[in-house]
Amino acid sequence: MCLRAVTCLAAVIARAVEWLTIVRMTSAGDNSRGLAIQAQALAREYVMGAEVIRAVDGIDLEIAKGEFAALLGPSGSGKSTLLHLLAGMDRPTSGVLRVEGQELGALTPESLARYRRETVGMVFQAFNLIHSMRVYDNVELPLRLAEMPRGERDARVRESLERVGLTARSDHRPSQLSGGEQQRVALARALVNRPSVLLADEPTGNLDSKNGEIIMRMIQEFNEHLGMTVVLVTHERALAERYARRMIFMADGHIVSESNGNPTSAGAPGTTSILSTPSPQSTPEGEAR
Amino acid sequence: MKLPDLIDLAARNLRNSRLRNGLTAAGIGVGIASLVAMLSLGVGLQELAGSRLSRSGLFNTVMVSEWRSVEQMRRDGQQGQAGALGGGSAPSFPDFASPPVLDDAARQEIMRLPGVMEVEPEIRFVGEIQQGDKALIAQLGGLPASAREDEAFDTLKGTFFSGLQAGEAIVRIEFAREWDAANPQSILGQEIVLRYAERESLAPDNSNNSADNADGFANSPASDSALGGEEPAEDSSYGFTVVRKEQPLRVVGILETQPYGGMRELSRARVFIPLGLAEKMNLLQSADLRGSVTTGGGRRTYSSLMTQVNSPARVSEVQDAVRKMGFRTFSILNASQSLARFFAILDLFLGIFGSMALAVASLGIVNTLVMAVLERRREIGIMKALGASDGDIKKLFFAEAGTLGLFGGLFGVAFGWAMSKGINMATEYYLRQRQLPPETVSSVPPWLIGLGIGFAIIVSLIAGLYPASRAAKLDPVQAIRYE
Ligand SMILES: Nc1ncnc2c1ncn2[C@@H]1O[C@H](COP(=O)(O)OP(=O)(O)OP(=O)(O)O)[C@@H](O)[C@H]1O
Ligand SMILES: [Mg+2]
Repeated sequence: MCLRAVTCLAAVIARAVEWLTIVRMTSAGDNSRGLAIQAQALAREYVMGAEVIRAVDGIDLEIAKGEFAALLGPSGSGKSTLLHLLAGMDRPTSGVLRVEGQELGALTPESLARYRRETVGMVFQAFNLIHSMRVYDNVELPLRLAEMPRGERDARVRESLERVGLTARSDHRPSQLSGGEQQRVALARALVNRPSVLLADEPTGNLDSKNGEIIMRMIQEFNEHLGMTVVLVTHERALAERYARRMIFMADGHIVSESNGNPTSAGAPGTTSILSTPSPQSTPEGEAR
Repeated sequence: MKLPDLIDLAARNLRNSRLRNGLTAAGIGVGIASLVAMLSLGVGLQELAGSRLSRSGLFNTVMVSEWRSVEQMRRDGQQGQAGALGGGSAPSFPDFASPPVLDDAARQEIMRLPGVMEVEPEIRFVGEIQQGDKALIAQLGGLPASAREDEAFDTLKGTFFSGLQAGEAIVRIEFAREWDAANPQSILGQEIVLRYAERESLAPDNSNNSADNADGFANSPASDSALGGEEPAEDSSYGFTVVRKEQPLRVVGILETQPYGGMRELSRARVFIPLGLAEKMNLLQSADLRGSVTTGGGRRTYSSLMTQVNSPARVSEVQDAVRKMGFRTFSILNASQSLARFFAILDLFLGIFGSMALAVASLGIVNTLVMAVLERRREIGIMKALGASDGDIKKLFFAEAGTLGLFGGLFGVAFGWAMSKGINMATEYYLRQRQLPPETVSSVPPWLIGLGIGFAIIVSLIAGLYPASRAAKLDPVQAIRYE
C-alpha cells in the first residue's frame, strides 16, 4: 500500500515536471533550438513525361518541439507527400528540410535510414503491420533494425504495448485484431524507439469515430506526456480542432492558411477515462524522458 | 540489423511460404545431388582404377632388360649362329661399345637407386606337384615379398609365406579344385613334393643341348608346352644340363584371384613359391631358353628384372637412372598419364552435367526470390519506413537465399550420397549377376560433401543478388501507398 502510494506520488510529480517542460518549450517560440521541424522553400516534384506534378511546391514551415500540428487540405493537396519528406521516406527535389537539427537532404541513404529509426515514428491510415508477425514481433521490429541488444528489447516492447493497452494481445496476429487495435499496435511500434517526432497520416481514416477518438487521445497523450512533436494529417477538421494546438491548411502543394486548435488536455480531469492504460508501472518510462 | 535477427527474420519469411520455399530448396537439392552423384562416380572410378592399377604394381613397376639380348637376337636372326659374347661391337647401341650385363652387380646398383623398393627377377617354370601317387603338372611362379600387398592377397585363404626361402606354396583355387574337386580347401596344410628340372652349368661352347634338356623331362606330359614349341630354342653361349630335382613344400594358402590383376606373366602361374626359394633352386625355366636367369661360369645374369618403385611419381626418375646404366627399361607410366588425363576429362564432363542441373536450380531460386520481392513489396516498404536501410533489406534477402541454399545443399548432399550408394548397389548387383567380384565405382569423400554444401550456398547467394538488389531499391512511399 505504502509503496503504491509512493509510486503514484512519483508519477504525479513526473507528469507535472513533463508538462512544465513542454509548456516552456512551446513558449520558447521561434528560437531555432526549440524547433523540431524547419522547412524552407521545400519542394517535391514528380515528372510524368512532359508534365511536372508539384506535389509539394515551395513550403516554408516551422514546427516547435513538443507541438501538436494537424495538416489539413483537400485530397491531392500534398499532405502525404510532405509527411513522407518529414519521415525521411522521400527526398525533396529542392529546398531545405531540417528535423531535430538534421538536414535531411544532405544525409546519406544510410544516415537517412538511421534518422527514420531513431528520430521519427510513423503511423499510417492503413496500419501497415506485417501480417506474418505476431503483435509482439511487429512492435519489436524497429528495435531489431536499431540493433538494440536482445536483453533490452523485451522491456521496451512490453512498455509500449502497455501504453496502448494491448499487453494481453501480444501473441496474436494482426489479422486477429480489430482495426482500432491494429492502429494501437502501429502506435506502439512507432513509440518503441522513443522517437522525438511522431508523424501520422490519417491514422483515424479507417476507423469508426469511437476508435478514432481512442487513437487521437493516445497521440495526444504521447504529445503531452512524452513530449513528442506530432504532425498529423487528417481530413476531419473537427477532430483536428479538438486535439491539435495548430492547424495547417494545404492546397496544391502550398500552405494556404493556419489557425489554432482548441484542444482539451489529456491530463485534464474527466478525459482520462479511455486513457486509463498508462498505468503507474509505465510511468518510470515517462520519468526517463 | 544484426546477424541473429537477420537469420531469425529470414527463417520466419521462409516458413511463411513453406511449400514454395521447400520446392525451391528441393530444386537446389536435386541440382547438388546430381553434381555430387556425378562427381562421386568420377572420383570412385578414378579411385578404383588408381587402386587397382597401383596395387597391381603395374604403375610403379619398371622392367629392366639388357640391350645385349636384343642385339643378340637380332644377330641370331641374321646369322642363325651363336654370336660371341661381349667383344664384338653392337652397332644398334651407339652409346655403349659393349652393352653392360644385367648381373647381380647391376641388380645391386639398381636396388640402391632412390625410390627403388625391390629388384626381382620374374621366375616362372613348369613342375610337377606330387603327393603319394597323386600328381599334377602346374606352371609355378616365384613371388617376391611385395606381392603380399597385392589386392589378390586380400582374399587369401590361409597365410602368406613365412619367409622368402620357406619351403611353402600358395596355390590358386583352380589348382586346388583340380587337386580335390570335392573339397578344394583340403589342400591347405598338405605336404607336397615339387619335382622340377634344375639346370647345371656346363663349360662354355657346349651349345645346342636344348634337345637333351627336353629329354630330362621326357616322362612329363607338360614337357612340350614347358620347353618346346612356343619358343624356339636359342643357342646359349653357356651350356647346361638338366637334372631332375625334388623340393618338399607345404601348402599354406589358397588364392582366389590372379595376382597383379592378371596383368603380368607371373599372374598366370597356378602354384606360387617364395621368390628367394625359386632363385636358390637354379631352375630351368620355360623362359630360360632365352636365359631369364642364366648361370654361366658361376656368374648369374638376368634377362630381365622387375623393379618396384615406391611411388608411380618416381618411375620416370628411376627409368632415367637405369637407362644411364645402359639397360633397357619399360614401364606403363605413359599409359598411366593418359589415364589420369582421361579421368580429368571425365570429371569435367560429369561436373558439367551436374552444374547444368544446378544452373536450372539456381534459376528456381531467382524466380522464388523475385516472386517474394513482388509479394512482399508492402512488407519491404514498411521495414524501410521503420528505418531498415537498403543494406538491411539486401542482407535479409541474402540470408533467405543462403538459408535456401544451405537446406538445398544438405538435402542435395544426402540425396547425392544416396544416389552414389544406389549406383554402387546397382553395379554390384550387375557384377554379381556375372559372377564378378564386387567393385565400388562411386565414392563420396568428405571434401565432396563440403563442396556440395558450399557450392549450394554460393550458387544461392549469386542467384539472390538480383532479387536482393531489387528489394533494396524499392521505394517505400510507393510500396506502402494505400490501396
Ligand atoms: N509517385 C507519384 N507520381 C506522380 N504523382 C504523384 C506521385 N505521388 C503523389 N503524386 C501526386 O502528388 C499530389 C499530392 O499527393 P499526396 O498523396 O501528397 O496527396 P494528399 O494530400 O495526401 O491526398 P489524400 O488526402 O488523398 O491522401 C497528387 O496530385 C498526386 O497525384
Ligand atoms: Mg494522403
